[in-house]
Amino acid sequence: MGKTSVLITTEGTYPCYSGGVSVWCDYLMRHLNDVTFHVFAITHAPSLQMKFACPPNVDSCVLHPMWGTEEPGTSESGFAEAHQRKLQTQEAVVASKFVPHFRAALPSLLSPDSKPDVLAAALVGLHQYFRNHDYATSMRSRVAWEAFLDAVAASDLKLDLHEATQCMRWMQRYLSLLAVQYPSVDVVHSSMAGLAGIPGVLCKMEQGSSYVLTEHGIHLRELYLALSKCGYSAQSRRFLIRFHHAVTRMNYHFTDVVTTLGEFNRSWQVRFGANPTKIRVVPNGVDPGRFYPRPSPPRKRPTVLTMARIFRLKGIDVLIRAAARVRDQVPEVHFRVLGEVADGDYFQECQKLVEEHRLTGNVSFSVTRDAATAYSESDLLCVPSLSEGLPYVVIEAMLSGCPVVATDVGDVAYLLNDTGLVVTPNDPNELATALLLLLTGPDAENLRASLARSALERACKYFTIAQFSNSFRNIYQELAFEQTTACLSQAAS
Amino acid sequence: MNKPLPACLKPRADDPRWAPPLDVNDAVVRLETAGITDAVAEREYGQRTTWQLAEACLPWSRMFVTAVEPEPRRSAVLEYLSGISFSFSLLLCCLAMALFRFSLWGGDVSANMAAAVGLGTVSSFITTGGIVQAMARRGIFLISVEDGATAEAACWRWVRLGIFCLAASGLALLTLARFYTWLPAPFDLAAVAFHLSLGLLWLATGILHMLERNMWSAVATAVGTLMVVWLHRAWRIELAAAQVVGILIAAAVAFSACFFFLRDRRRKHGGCPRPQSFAFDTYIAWPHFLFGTFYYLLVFSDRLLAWTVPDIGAPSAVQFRGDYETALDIALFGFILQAGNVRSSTVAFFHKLASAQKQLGLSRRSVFIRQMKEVYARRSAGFLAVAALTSVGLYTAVAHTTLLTNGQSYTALIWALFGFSALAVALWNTSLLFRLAQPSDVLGALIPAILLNVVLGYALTRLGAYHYAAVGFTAGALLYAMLTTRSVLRRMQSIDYYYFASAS
Repeated sequence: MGKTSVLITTEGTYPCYSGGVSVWCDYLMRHLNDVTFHVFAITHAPSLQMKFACPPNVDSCVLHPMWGTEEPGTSESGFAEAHQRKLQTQEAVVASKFVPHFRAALPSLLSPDSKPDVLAAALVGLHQYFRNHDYATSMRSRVAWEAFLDAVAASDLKLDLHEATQCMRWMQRYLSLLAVQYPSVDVVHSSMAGLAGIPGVLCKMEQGSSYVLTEHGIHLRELYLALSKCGYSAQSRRFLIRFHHAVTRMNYHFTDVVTTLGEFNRSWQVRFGANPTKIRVVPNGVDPGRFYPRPSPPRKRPTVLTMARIFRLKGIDVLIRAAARVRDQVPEVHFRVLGEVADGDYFQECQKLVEEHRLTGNVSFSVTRDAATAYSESDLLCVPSLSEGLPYVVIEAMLSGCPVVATDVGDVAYLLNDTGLVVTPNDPNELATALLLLLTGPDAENLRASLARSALERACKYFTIAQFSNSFRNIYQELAFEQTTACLSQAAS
Repeated sequence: MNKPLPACLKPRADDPRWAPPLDVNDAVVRLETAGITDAVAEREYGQRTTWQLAEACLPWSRMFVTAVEPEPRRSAVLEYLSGISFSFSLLLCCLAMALFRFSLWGGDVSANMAAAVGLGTVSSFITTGGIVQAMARRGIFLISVEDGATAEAACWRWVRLGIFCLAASGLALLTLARFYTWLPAPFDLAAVAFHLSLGLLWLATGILHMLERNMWSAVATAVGTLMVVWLHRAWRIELAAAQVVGILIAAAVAFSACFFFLRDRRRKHGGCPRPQSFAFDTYIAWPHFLFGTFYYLLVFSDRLLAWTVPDIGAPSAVQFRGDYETALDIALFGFILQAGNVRSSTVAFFHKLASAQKQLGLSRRSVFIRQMKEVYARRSAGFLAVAALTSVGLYTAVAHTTLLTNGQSYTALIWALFGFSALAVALWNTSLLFRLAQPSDVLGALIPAILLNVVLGYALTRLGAYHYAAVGFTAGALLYAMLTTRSVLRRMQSIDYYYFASAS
């Protein structure tokens, strides 16, 4: 049997963005060097630089910009082939070969009770159609527009003309994944249950590949959160939820294995339609050879470290409010926030908050490439997030002997299991109290040391890269074996 | 439930984007991220879990109505000024002409030099017109998707192509002018010098127009004009030579501004240029390239026909017709006033389109189409009214001056006033058709218009007098306006579809 080949699909993460999912992908591919990987990454724009270099066992890496291209589904570097497809995409062809599949897909995409089998069959039909025909021409055709309006009218969505235009334009971008030809692989491994899972369903139905789905945050849950503050109309939000719910449900239906980080995510996945028997918990793992307790350099000021990309869900504003309270009792305290700015407006809001609370001497923002050293330079790690899965920073801090104060979100409480302090999210007072306990409380130093010790022990036992990579190696092998036996039995019969 | 609703499930004054939860999942997510875990739900709200709390709160939370933020919109006057901002440089030239009797180009020069300047000017517009349009099409798209790095790279690539085309066409112009004795030497060289220098200036001002920095084009023109004044008055350098230097300095100032603003965009947007080929740029922008080239052909064909009417005893084939030029320039001034309306009308049209769409459900598409047809008709009528007022006003004003000295010039003026009014309407249609992604409609109207202009203008100038070139221009412009009006009306029948398909 040759090397197992795996297509990793990502959206808004590896290899162009930093963050936990990107680190997860990087770890997975680097530590499974007996597996051949292909990467298909959905990005938000074509002008992004790769933040991760692919390891040698990655055979191909395709970036698919969802937005910012002249036409959805058309490569801007090799348009000659696209032009050829355009010539083959006459109105009559669109009406006879494209519209039936499109009309079959629409009710599932627009209804709250989508039918995964029907949707997948329609998407496969469209995928095969787009092998020889132009995506943009078909999706922008008058018959496609009419089909969409008919489907909306038949659904209970009450879109006005403006919303219908906007929704169809979104759909054009989302479904551009159907215009991509994916490599032939043994396993497709999607890093989220949303659009990135579509290649998994297509490859499974067309090539018989196995399909693994790993969720870090819950895609739909995060979408609800994003939509609650986006300013779109209620009907547009409803459309987006239905569309993504249909795709998610289809992913859950077709996947062979769903891996999740812990119980919190698992309960959401089941609620959104995942079959509980397919779900396996595979926690993240970190390399203890890279993160380990190091001698801490002498410090003049007590230092609280926060490692996070700066956007609202990371709760940096909550941290700043807590910092104001801590500063009142520990004037020399230093809150060191390390991470890229992912939301410029939010970052400005945070900076304003720092000024309002007169914390300019106590709070600093920067980035680092040496996370391991940052832990050793800090007295404790604070994770003020409003939403998390199983954050890497907590495991890294546990392995580095850096005590943790974190909010009770996702599976953080399970991860720490009393080896750190867990507080109510979005509560600056409670967060400040916990921080003060570890900074100035009676016997604070001993408490920090004891937490660090027990956290290190727990992390070494459950959250190392070896455990993580072995789990996925086993899953891939198991699926490849099942696939082979299925093929053999089919051949025999 | 006798407790107050959790804060995250009701509108907040500091969060205008708050919207009621869509369903219970939405409510749970909001509660969880507000720190309301099962324990908090039980302790503070008496509900066993967050889910139960969400279910209890949802009906109340959904009763809140969110305020709709009005879309920011500039006033019609600002839009109009923005629409005519491209002509600020021309206004500066007019001012310089009034003060010094010359400007950045043109002025009191010999007939041969005037012909050289005229020929160089027309050829520079025709050579760079297409490149500027294509560059703007691609650049505006890339900037709209916040890809300043690629926009910068694409613009400079088009500029390099523009310089190459200017050089090649300059060489062709010189060769033809020598071979057919269009102009006596060294005026043919002067024509090429103006062709090259003005071409560079158009490329730079094209980028500035794309970046909505037309004021910098005016600054560049002012600097260049002052340089001409200084060289010509203080150093006694011949006017044409001083003008070429002035134009080159204006181009350098404009290019410096382009460099700065493009770099600034790149820094703001971040990222690196996307991989793409020049062939792809051309593939995307070729209709715009053709439009730019054909548009200037339509506008300038009549002058070329008027200048090349055979004149017995003339030393060269190209003869500058001062009176004809003056009549056309007066009409052009009226055109600029009308063309400012194109931008404001287009913005108003699509603003109305969006607001009408928001008020009408899918079953009322016919009402929407009727409303948009009415908006188009009203705006088009506005163009005709402005055209009538401008034309009558200009004609009356000119009649009280000595700008035009003979009846034929007045005839040319009347035709040109009609022609430029039709051109303004055609440009309004063109603007709509480009916004609806229908460039083929524009080209389909422009090509027959040019043919009519050239054929009719040629016949009339050769059978009659050079002033009749204006009749050809007017006929072409009218045909362009009629054909584009027909296209717009056709697209209006399914404006909802064409609007959807115009972008993604």
